[in-house]
Amino acid sequence: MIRSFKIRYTRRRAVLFSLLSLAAMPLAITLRPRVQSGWVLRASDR
Amino acid sequence: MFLDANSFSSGQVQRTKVCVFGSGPAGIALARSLSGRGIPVLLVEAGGDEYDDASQEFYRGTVIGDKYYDLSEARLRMFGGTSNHWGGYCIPLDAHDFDPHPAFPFTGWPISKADIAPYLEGACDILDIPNQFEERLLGRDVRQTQFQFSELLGIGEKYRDYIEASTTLDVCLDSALIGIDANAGGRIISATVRSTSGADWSVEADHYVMCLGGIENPRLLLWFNEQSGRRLIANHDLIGRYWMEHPLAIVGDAIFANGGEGLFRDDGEEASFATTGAFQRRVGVLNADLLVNEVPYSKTKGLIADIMCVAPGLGRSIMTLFDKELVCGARVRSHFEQAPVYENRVALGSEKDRYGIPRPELYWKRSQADRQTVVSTARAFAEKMADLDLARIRLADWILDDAPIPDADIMAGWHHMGGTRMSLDDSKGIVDANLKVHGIDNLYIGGSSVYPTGGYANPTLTIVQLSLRLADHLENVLGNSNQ
Repeated sequence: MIRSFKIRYTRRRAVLFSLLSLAAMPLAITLRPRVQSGWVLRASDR
Repeated sequence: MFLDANSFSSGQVQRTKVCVFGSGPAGIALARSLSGRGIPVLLVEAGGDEYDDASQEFYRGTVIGDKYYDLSEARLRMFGGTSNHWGGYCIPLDAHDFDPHPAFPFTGWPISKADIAPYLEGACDILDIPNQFEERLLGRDVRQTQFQFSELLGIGEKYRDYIEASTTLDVCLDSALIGIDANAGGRIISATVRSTSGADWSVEADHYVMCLGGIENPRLLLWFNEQSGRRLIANHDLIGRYWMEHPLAIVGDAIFANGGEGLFRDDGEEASFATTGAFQRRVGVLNADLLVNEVPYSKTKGLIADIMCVAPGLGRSIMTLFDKELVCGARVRSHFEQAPVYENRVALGSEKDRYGIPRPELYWKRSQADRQTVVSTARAFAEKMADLDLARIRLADWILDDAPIPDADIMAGWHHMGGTRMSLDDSKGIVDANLKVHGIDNLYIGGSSVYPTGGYANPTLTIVQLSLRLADHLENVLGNSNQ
């Protein structure tokens, strides 16, 4: 009983984390400094 | 005291405990340290008291491969050696420079940074610099570093008075090492020296140390081994191999807000950075420094105009700061570590010098791995500066275009490393961890030719540390042999 709860909980947590990381990925890509005409800029610079 | 070697007659024999060849930082630091312990030392220098074209001519050689300096300009044959045109940059090697790098064969020293750390204070004292090399992490991958700058120009001058008064340190100028004689048991019994006057005299010592520089050490060792029928050093092919420099590249321009406060040296002229050892392992590159130098007002204005086209909002805010004199433009250059490769080497050329010894042929190229080191370092630095909002970097076109590193007037640091590399294994190195030549009982090598890898650190400070460590070793060996 306890074991199956743990498995279910672990699976749910894994799914949740995957969804969260997918959602965060575009944000991370946007925030990472990018090169434009040679200049390495922050997202807020553009 | 100074001895007049030009008055020596042919066949004359000088006897001493330790004979040191070469009066650059490696030779003088060693000779001074030993003589200070009461050990008799003879220091033999091929050049004269001052620069002389006829003496310097011995340093001519050929370079094959990438564009490099004229070999007769990249070093000095005179009292004090190449320290006479030294820039004075000092910084210790990093701890991870001594470790093998998983992505690069032939990396790793047989000693660690801790083995030479006890000699750092003494080396700083010799070079007249404070023992202060602080680092500041800027995120995970980039660190701000601290160089010290020696104003010592010509280490010989610093010790001239000491030498003149010394009863244990004799110095012969105008005296070139031209041969060594070894017995069948692998022991040097004498060294032959030629004075500028033309007389050939000899030195008989308990121990001999070659501190002739990163080109002369391998060149003369190759020649002496050839003369002995390759019996002195079994692994003849290894002599001169894995030679390295610190190539230089301009990697970009920078705009620092707030005048780069907290990043530039107290005199405001330069800031220095490097990546962390963890970054270098993770990305698969070697070490490199990033030196940032302020550019004039007009160039700063040009950089701001350029960024205005790309990021108008940022440009306007920089312009506001510029009006308040809170912005500085800068040029970013990098001296980077070269991977030790078999093909880069000092060899004997077909042309001979006036003493009949073959001139050096230097085979030197920067590899794709070397390029990767400087490019990855520059990119990581530029991203971190933007990320922390400390600066904006405009990377050089050759980095963005995936083009070769452009040749410049200044190609490298005049840092001659490798060629007589250090290893516990005589099939992989010329000297052991005590700088003793494998297979020869009493021949040692000082200077950066023993480096298995070069890090990015200017080599002089480490050269002096190694010499002071060698002085300890020789004192122990001499003490044991006297018991």
